Amino acid sequence: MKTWTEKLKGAGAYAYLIPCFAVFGLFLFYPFVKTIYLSFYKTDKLGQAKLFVGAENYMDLLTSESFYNSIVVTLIFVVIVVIGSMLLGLITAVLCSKAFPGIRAFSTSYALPMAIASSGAAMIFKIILNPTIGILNKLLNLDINWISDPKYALICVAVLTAWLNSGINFLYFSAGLGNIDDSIYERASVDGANAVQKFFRLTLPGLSPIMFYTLVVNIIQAFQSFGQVKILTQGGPGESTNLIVYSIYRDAFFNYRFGSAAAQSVILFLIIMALTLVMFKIENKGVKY
Amino acid sequence: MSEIVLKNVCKTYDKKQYVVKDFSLTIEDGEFVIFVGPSGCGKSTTLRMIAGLEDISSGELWIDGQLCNYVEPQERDLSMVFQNYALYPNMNVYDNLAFSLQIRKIPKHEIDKKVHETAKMLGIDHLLKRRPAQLSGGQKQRVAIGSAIMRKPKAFLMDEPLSNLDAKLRTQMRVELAELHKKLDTIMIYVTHDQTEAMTLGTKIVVLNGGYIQQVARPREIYEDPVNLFVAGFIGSPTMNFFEGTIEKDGEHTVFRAKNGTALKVPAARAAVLSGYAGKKVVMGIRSEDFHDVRETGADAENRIRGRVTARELLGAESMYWLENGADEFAAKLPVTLSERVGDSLEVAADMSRAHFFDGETENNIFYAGGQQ
Repeated sequence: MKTWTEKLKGAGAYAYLIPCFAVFGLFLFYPFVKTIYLSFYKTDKLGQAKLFVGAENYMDLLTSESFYNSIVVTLIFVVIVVIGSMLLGLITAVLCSKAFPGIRAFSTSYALPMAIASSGAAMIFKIILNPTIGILNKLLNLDINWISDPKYALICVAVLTAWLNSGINFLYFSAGLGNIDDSIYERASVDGANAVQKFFRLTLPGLSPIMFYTLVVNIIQAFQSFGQVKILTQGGPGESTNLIVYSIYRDAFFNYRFGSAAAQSVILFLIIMALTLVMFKIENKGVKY
Repeated sequence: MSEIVLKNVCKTYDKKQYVVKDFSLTIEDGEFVIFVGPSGCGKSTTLRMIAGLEDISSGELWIDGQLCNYVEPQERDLSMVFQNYALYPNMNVYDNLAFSLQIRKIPKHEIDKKVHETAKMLGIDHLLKRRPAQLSGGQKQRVAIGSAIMRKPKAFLMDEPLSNLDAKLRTQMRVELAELHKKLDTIMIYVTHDQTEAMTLGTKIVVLNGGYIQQVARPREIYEDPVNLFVAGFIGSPTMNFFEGTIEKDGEHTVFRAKNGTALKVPAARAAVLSGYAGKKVVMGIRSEDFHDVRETGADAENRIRGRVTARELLGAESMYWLENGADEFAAKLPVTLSERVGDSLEVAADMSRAHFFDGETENNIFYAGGQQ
């Protein structure tokens, strides 16, 4: 039979958890549950649930061409962003792993995109990409309307996002490279390996544990890109850059269709969760050391 | 036929202080050269300069008649065993062994044959599928040596390869390394701070201190004929006993008088040279095994030192007595049958024919023969 002081001790542990759970509950669990709830309703303009419609919001989406377009656009976007930002992060990290004069200036500039707000960067890119006064057209001596041409708009947004995300990847990969023991490179040198062989036989495998983590984070991050689309293209031209997150925003705050927006959110959540689970499954089968 | 020549090789990081200074050495084919010295004496740095992992600040490095100062490590055709083994953590033992051949695009079946041969020779053929993290220290060490001997390089460089092993395994690997050298008959350059490894493995020992070569000689010569006080004190276990004192004339004899007044008669053959040091500071060195029990037949009855036993270690067949005598402390290896215990007074006879004498100023061995004994 426990005394009351012992019981209190057990309760104390839960008391310590309260601040954490309060924050999570308020900003994470409550919105999440509320979103699922809203996705089954038609709402008024203030976002209050008015009419229970069951799965109708979902049925509407699954029959909507616009929504399929959003998914396709988002997938293309994610592929470009993830490949681009990871390559950029990896290359810059490898370049900065050697000591040379001015290394700090380079490291800072490669990590800097992390500190830039996406909408701010988008403003700058808007000027760079401007067809008449933009520096890109001037430098390349081209006359392309980057943002207003459906062929290029998505690529522009994706490249901008890749650059923005590359900063944190640079940090991840730099940390990963720092974990590789220098002496194995020395041994490889004496064994006769050249720089390319060392990169593919030692550096890449050495980065593989952090590579997986970076990949997961990057995919999730790419799916959630919003600010750059809002500033640069507003989902246009046409619907060529209408990523799911932007589509959710437009449905909710332009069209006041909170129910449909909530349903899209739930679908986006399911897509990301499924992808993450699949990746962890693959990782478990993969090589570890 | 390979040969490595170092000419006045120096290493400095700030152009003021030298880590290695004027290192000149010729290493001929098949030699097992040991770089030995205390921590920070520049032995590892020299080895890394030979490997090409450190730049040579000045001087020349010739490998097989080719000036190699600016040759990249991968072009030098050497192989190296690192102190921490430097196994590739992402590859299994098989790939670790095969790596140096794989990058040379050698046909797979040849590599396969060679890997199994080498693994069998080192007794690691049952571990080929494992990763380095799943190996014990001794097994890692064998893999590191195995991957070094996969090729037939111009020289094997070993940077304290046994220092992370326990005592028993170290002895065992030492024997195996000696055998391996006999089998491979290639230059081996071996860095260690362990003078037992140096004495047992080397065909030539290079004693380093403070970046300078102190002495280059065969193991026996280093032990019997050290060039100076440092080498005499560094080589041998326990370290050689040193007595500071002066040379005096005592009637017709020349004697060494220790600080506490003990007089020891200098052998006739050495008296003439030593009488030149009369009045100067001289250090006498004598090894623990050159002390004898005074009751032993044939013990030099005249040269006796008395001391108080401060410690006694049983070595097995013999005992090591640690004696203290006024200013001096010394160790004497004596028969295990002696009854003296800690605190007792004990008199030992010094075999003065085996004593070494060092100039008190320069610390050089007064009777250094330099291999011309």
